[in-house]
Amino acid sequence: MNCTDSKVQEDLVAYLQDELAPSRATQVRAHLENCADCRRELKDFEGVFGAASSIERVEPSAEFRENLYTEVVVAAERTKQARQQTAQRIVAARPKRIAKHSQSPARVPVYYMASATAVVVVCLLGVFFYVGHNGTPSSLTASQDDWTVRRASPHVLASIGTEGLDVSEDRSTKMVYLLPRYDDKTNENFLLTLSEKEADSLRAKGEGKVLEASLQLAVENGLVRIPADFVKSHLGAETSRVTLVNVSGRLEIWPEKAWQ
Amino acid sequence: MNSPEPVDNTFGVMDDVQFERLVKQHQVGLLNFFYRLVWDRAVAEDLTQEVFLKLYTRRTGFEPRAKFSTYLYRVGRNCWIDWLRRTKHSRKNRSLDAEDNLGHTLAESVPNRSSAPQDGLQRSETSVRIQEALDSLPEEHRVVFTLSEMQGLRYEEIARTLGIPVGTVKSRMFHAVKRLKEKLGRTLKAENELHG
Repeated sequence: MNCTDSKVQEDLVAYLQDELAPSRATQVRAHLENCADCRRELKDFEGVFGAASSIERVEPSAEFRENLYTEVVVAAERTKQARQQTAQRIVAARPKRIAKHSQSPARVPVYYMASATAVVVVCLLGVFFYVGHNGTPSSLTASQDDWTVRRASPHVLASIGTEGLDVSEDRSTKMVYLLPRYDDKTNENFLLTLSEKEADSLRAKGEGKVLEASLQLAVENGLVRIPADFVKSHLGAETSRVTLVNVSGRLEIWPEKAWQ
Repeated sequence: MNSPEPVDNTFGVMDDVQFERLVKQHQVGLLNFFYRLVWDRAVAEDLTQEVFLKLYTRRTGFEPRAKFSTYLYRVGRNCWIDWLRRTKHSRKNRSLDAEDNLGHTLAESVPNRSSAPQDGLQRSETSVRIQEALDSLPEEHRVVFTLSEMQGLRYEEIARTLGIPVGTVKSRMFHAVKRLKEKLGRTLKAENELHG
């Protein structure tokens, strides 16, 4: 190919697919009128699309939908059981006990360690996430102090809860209801997040002190951002790391600045 | 004027009837998306089922406001990537005579819409060559080409689906088509000669 206008060549496929801006399409069209090389290239590209269209379209087999619905029933039951077990384990934990240096001597090293690394387990239950691209831009602007969750899987970062929590590549902002808990086995503080219904139910029974917070979780480029203010106010200013436990694994949350 | 299908844009509080409607609406598109990536009907059906299962089990956690197909193919693409990883060691290059799990050979899957025997033969050859050429593309180029040419998604939708800039979609499409053209060189020439 002798044509030296590489920009036009790179636009030929988009031109064929009507994906260029009108002004650029006009420029490419004008170039094509005077360039035999590009016209030939365009024809070859058309040939590629023609060849691609010769591939057959397949139809689902007769049993596809029946198999799917069978699997749906099994999966729904499995998910329900897993969430119930996780929720029961977490809810059964004791109320939050803030680490204090005045605890018994035998426990001091543990709490020093806890305050140094402040490993906090956060289980998020019943948070609805709004997926899409129409989110409020201000909720997506993460400051340097924001907290970031490392991606755990290609798509889903977390999945837990009686009503389900999923975090995808998208962006979310939600009011959450929190129940402080403490796990004796791991000596970890964590915040259990509840659905509004669960929070109302606990308040009515007078079980534990339910916190209410407008937690903005912004998910961007595969990372979840949690406002640092929220972490500091609910988990303590010394907190340097949060571990989120869910039915599919553990996710670690670090201050944004720790990544830099 | 008909109102738009509710399942296409709202998914957060979907019931079983809506789920069934969604399956009917998207099963063929999704199946063909996978078929063009794995060339095996049974595997394509399994992956399609996997996507719908994921949608079903997460249905109370999502309320997409973006176009539903964007979300659907994002889940689909991730399922495909997972499948590639899972089967990395067991996958082999399929020959034209190799059978898929339902006993179909690659050559048998080629359509023959023409009444002229010679034309039909040429189409078969073209279809097989394009499949081989598609297999030679890098994964990220192949999925962009499949979403664009075969699923009819616009560059902007593909960008949202894959979480990449529109410019990257455009660049990947160009390189994919250019590579396919090089791979199909002889076949395209024969096609051009056949159809003038």
